[in-house]
Amino acid sequence: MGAESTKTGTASAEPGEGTEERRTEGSDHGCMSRREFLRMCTAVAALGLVPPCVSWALEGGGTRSGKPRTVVHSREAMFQQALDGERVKCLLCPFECVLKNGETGPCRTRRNEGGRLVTSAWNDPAICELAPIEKNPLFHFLPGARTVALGCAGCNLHCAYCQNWELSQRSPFETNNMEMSADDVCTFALREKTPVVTFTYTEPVVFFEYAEETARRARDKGLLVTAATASFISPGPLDRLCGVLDAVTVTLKGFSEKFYSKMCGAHLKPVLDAMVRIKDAGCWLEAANLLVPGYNDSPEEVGRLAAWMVKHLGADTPLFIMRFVPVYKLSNLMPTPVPVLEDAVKAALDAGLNFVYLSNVAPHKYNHTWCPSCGAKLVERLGFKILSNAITPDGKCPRCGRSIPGKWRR
Amino acid sequence: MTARCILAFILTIASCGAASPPGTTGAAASPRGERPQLTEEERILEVLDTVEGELSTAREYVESPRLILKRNRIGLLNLVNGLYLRKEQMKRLIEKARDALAIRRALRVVSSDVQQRVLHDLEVLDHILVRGAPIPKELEEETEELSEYDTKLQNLYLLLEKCLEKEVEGILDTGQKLIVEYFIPCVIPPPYLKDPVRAGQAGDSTPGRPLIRRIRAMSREEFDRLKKKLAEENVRQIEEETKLLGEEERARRRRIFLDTCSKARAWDDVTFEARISELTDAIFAENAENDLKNKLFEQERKMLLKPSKTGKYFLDPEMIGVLQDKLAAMSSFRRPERRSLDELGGR
Repeated sequence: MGAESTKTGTASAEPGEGTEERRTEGSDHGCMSRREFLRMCTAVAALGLVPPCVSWALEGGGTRSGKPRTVVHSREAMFQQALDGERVKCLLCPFECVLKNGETGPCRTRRNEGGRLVTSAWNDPAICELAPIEKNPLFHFLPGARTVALGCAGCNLHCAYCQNWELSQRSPFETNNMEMSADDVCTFALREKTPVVTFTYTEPVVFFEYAEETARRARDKGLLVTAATASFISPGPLDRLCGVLDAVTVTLKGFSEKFYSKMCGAHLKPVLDAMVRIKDAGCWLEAANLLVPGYNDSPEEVGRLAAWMVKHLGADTPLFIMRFVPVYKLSNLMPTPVPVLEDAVKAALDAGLNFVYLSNVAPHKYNHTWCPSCGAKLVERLGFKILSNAITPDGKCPRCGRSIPGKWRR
Repeated sequence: MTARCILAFILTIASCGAASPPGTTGAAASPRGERPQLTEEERILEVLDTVEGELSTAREYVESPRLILKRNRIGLLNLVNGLYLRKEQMKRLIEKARDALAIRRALRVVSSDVQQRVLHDLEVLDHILVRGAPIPKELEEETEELSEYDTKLQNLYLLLEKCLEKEVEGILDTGQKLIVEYFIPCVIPPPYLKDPVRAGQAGDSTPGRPLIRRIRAMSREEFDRLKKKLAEENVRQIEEETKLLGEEERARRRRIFLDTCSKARAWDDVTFEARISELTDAIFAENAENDLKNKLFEQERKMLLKPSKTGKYFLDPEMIGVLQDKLAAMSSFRRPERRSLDELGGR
């Protein structure tokens, strides 16, 4: 299995046509006040930059060279089985797609090139930024730590409500990518003094090779590695990935096969199996469940999900109840109402989980970590920020001494 | 002593005339026991008082009070939506806003006699000034005396509002207080922000990124040619906001701008993408300006007992209606209807 990379394509738009802006950043959606707009226009006009700059700025800017980068590297994919007639079977995820020569899988990253499976998600993340670890979400793992958060385009799920669909529902050929090898990621993390590298925003499973290589190098350099994943992955690749990960957040989409198949184009059981496997492998595990209004938001469904977690993963496994924001194919829906989310949190707590959080809603009392034994407020958060952390260095409640699971200090 | 106790005291002295201005015998009718319901005119006046300073000069002249009132209400609704207040918090906050309103009305009653006398004196003065006659010593003294009394009443009002502010702060959680302090009002908040803390408010530093990218993409010659102009423009913008830059501060700002530009041009692509917000914050973002403004505002507030943002928003009489409407909406909340997954196509 060769690790050599090949550069397979570049776009050649002229300066002024680039769209380098990262669409996942909040400010990109910010509204500009009339005053700000006038101020900017005046400033820009005064400096004689109007003709190229205004349209260019409105389109999102460009790179140092003024050219967008749609650099895509490829390498031979892992987990493949050659079949007759130049067909190839991908063994990475439970779909086990059989691809004819020239075909690309529904994940948009793995394709058959002359009977050989190659991945185009290699050394070319579509996003890389410094982010708080809480954004994963991951609350019981080095609270307040900054991470190098990166992700390549593509996903093997097709959730109609995907919150990062601009990246996940596109192939690496359709996004503006950065050239970043595993070593580059590590160098960057060390230079920025971030203790953690995180694979997030899109699905690490579909950039398995890049994620594994980066994780291995990062750990060699003393960094910790985490991932946010839907965990729709075959057992073999998962075991291999778990070997290089320190913590994982699994986004559990719902708790019915119908929801998984209709809403996400996947299946529930492999995900549940993967969660148990991750736990057994010794990775720190947290779970997240995004509630789409009217589809998977009933307290009963959340209660069943939580009860399953208690039974198979333990009552101390944190669960995030996440608010849906209308995007992609479900942009006609309303955001999940807060009372619905609160009912879901209560249902999960009633089912026996000890740490249930509300995500995408802040400030809220369910953003904080509370001691399940004495009710003391242990970690106070405001969104992704830590306002206070009272957990003792050995991971205990300072009031009653109850052990609070997680990794609280390096 | 809580603001409510002080209010009761004021109402008492207002009703028995103990707080009468010099030379008068008593105040007008007491509002004791009356539910503080604002008339339309009062609401407009109150809001104009409250939002004073927030409006650009043009807006003050151009927009109708009704529009200002509505805009203010929308801003408050966005704030309340972004704070995720609990029912019991809302109920307590309504009480505080009502107390503030009652204090204002009580003081208005107390000061009405003073205002009548000031008006009378000013009319006399008007007449004298038209004739170009000398101002009588007695009129001068009385005007001064009334002015002092008026100042005392104003200070009393501010003191009471400070007490109420403290009580409001006691109702809010730490995170909520932080959000209020840094809240940027807008009419329609951005529909989707990755940072949930910014829900219900305007996005930040929008104009910074395109320009910093433009600076990064400039050729060396172009940058050398424009950098001084750019730095001056940046300083001018900050000055426009703060009005208080000395020469030393201007020079410091120019340095920051040029240093930031150098970083933007020198960094590799990944560092630039990952840290662009630091650059925009340094030279454009409201943060830098707001830090300075907030410091000045804080100083000014301490000196003049001006209300904090918590007081400004939560003691605004319009907040009563906003919270009442939100409470009603919460009470009538219905879960979203179940939807059929069969309508979705699947993979």
